[in-house]
Amino acid sequence: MMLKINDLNTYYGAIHALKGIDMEVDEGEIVSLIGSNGAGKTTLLNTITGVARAAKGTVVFKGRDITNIPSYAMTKLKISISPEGREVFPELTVEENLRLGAYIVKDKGAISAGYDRVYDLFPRLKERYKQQAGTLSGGEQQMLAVGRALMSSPELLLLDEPSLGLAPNFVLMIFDMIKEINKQGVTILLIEQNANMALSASDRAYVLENGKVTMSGEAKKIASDPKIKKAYLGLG
Amino acid sequence: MLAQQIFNGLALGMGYALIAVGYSLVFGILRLVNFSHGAIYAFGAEMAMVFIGLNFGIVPGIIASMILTGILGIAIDKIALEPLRKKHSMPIASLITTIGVSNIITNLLIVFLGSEKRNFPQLFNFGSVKIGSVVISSTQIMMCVVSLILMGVLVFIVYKTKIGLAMRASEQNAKAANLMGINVNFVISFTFFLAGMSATIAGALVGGYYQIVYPNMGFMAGLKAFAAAVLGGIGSLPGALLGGLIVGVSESMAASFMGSTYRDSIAFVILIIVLIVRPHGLFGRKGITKV
Repeated sequence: MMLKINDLNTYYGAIHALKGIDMEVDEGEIVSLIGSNGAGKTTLLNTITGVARAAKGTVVFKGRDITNIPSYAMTKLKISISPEGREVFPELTVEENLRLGAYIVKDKGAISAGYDRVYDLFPRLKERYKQQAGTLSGGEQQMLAVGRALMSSPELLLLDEPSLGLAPNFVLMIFDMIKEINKQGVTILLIEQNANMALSASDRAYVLENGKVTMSGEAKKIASDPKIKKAYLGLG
Repeated sequence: MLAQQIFNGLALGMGYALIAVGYSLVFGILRLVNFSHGAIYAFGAEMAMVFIGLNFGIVPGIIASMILTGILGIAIDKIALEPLRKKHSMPIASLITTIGVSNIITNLLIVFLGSEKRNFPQLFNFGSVKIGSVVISSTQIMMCVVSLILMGVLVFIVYKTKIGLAMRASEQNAKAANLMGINVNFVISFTFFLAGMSATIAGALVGGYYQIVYPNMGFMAGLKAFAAAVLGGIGSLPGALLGGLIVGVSESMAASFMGSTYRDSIAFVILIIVLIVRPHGLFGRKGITKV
């Protein structure tokens, strides 16, 4: 078990945003978390990464309790994130953004291997390595956010809404890349509003509603559930 | 006469520039005008004098004061400002806090050292250079040289080192910087340390120039340096340098051509004019947004 979340509770002010989440991610899996706006998906990710504080419950990564550790300690544990809204550093170049992804990496060879890996996955970033990140298109910024997260050679990659606001061809491409990154041995926890794409790319999935897990299991089974089809897939 | 005043003003302006970079560094990372920076500058100058008085020697005395003043900067942030950030309080609360901290520092200096003006040793004394009718003292030359070197060091740190990259990243998006593994609170402490060190060098240079230091010396100098930072475009290091020089030269001109009563107000008159024409300052970036 790589990531195990037990009875996680988080409050945003007076709002009880997560009401006892239980979840598991195994090594090598792509697990997706689907749910409508406000269901608590990003809050869950924020709680895992220490951006929001858990009031109750635990987050265990590879046997180690990491509940409420500071955000800056995540990359050292080999967990990294491509956050919602991409959050690239707009006035820094593509290369500087990537360099920051490897901030905790001391070995120069590992850093240049990181650049090679990212430029290999996203050749377009290589073409634009001197360009300021703020001048990239939304899709390119998303590639940068994912690439930046890979620079610390994570074992677990958290992706928050990687397809949000992207043109359809970019959405397809990002999902291809997610599968490719997974094949390279990176475990992925994927948060998506595009449930269709997420379920077709994942091994397993969790459905989040009002801060609770209402369904979980194999992605294929969830995709064929009539309720899910109706609520999230725009079918039925 | 004119050329002489320009040179006098340039030397003085370098001092303002070194104070102004402190405003710019901290503003860059926190979007906060640290109004205690003038008092930090006075603290640096006073402590340099205390250490020199303890027979440290001039250069070690200034270095000891730089370290102590840098630590003061970190302490201000840790004790007074970081708790406010943690509570996500309104920006105005931090701003008023820095004004309060400024008064606390100044008054502690008065309590422990007395409010009178004290003689500060002349730092550089190897005669003067005469070009035509213009006499430039060794103090003025060294003020320019030391300030330019320090500016170069700061630019190098911010644009060429890893911690500088972390500073620029934290400035643009603190949350994302944290997620990259950067301890943003450490970066902020480092920034306050740099600001305190630069202010001490400014305090020692200006103290050595007038051969005088006193607890309230940071009040007017701090305000003028703030004007210089805004004039140049707050957050920008070259802007702080240019702003400082403009303030220094105009002050020197005003003092000699309009009478010394105008010297303290001219910086603000120029500030207002520049801001009407260029609201972001001379080197300011448009659309700085708080992220």
